Amino acid sequence: MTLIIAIPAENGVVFASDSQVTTGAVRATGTKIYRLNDHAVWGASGEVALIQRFAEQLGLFPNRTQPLETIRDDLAARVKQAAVSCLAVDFRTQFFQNNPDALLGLHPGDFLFAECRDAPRILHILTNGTSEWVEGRFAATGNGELFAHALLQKYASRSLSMDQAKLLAYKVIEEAIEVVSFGLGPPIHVWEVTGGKTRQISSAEESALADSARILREEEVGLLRRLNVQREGSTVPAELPAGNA
Amino acid sequence: MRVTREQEAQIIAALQAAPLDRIRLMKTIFLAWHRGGRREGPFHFQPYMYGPCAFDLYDALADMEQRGLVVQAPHPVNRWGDYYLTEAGKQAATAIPSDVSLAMEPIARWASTQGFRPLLDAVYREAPEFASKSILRAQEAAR
Repeated sequence: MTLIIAIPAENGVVFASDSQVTTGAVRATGTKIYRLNDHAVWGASGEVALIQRFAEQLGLFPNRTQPLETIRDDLAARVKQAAVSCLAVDFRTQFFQNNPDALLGLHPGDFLFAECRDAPRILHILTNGTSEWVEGRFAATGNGELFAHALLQKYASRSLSMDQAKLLAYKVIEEAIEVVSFGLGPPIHVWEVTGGKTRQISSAEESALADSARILREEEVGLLRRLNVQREGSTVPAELPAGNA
Repeated sequence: MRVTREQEAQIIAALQAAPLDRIRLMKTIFLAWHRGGRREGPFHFQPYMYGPCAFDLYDALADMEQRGLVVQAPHPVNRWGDYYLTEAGKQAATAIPSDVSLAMEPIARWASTQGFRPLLDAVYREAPEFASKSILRAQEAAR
């Protein structure tokens, strides 16, 4: 279970995730975001075995430093190859030979890549080997994905600075962790993907983001409260006359 | 990163006066530094999204927590709880220079009673240049 978010910003992409790894009834903490090269990172939701097999494939890929645009199909092929290799060792595979969707469902996975060279780019790859560019908007994957879409939708077409995007990513994952019944957990990892300076933010920076997110959350509630006070103090009737609804 | 004695003294002096969460602790130490004439201090403040922020304070807190001088109370939201001095922290407080305690105590007591907005408003009134990246200041400007 996972939540990974990629938010494009004015000069890069913010890539963030929770860090809970769930295996059956047991939870642990782990890394979900990996460096592809100096300009790009990747992360995936789904089965750990599948993600590990993809990471192994990637380690053997000599062109991993090339732009995503150049290696998109190679990456997609390696995702598909990882899925196939999982199915090859799974005894259940024989029962679903004529049902490809059910086969893919045996080892679920969803892969996101973020890059910034001349401009921010987000690439989404499915285990069936297809890929799509996510153009001009955020992307999310994992069981917390719907929460991310609900919380981020209002910012979908807005230009964000890197600081704003980091704050939003942090806040959304933090709020999703509070709400989702299982599978998501702290700490929250945040990466800045910028031209040649891709890095994970330090724990101190992450703490400062957490405190900024707390202020923002308090301020959202405060804003609503102040609207209420203004309404009580205004001359506008609290309820509109009948027929004006 | 290992916390310096000066950093440790300021954090202990503030928490001795009142348990504080990270935001109120940050603003307490900032105001003490600002009101003390902004002399070269153990923390390095810069404008951030919630006003003055010293990233080294977070590292110092983590180090002191690891060494058992402070402890953070459980809170439903990860890391929102107040920090308290442990017995070892209280013992260490006996060695804090009195001028540090005297500077920190009234500010910490005041900060512990403030909501975030009044706290930040007060900080920005005293040090407006530290509001340049603030979330709240941006909202004010947008009105």
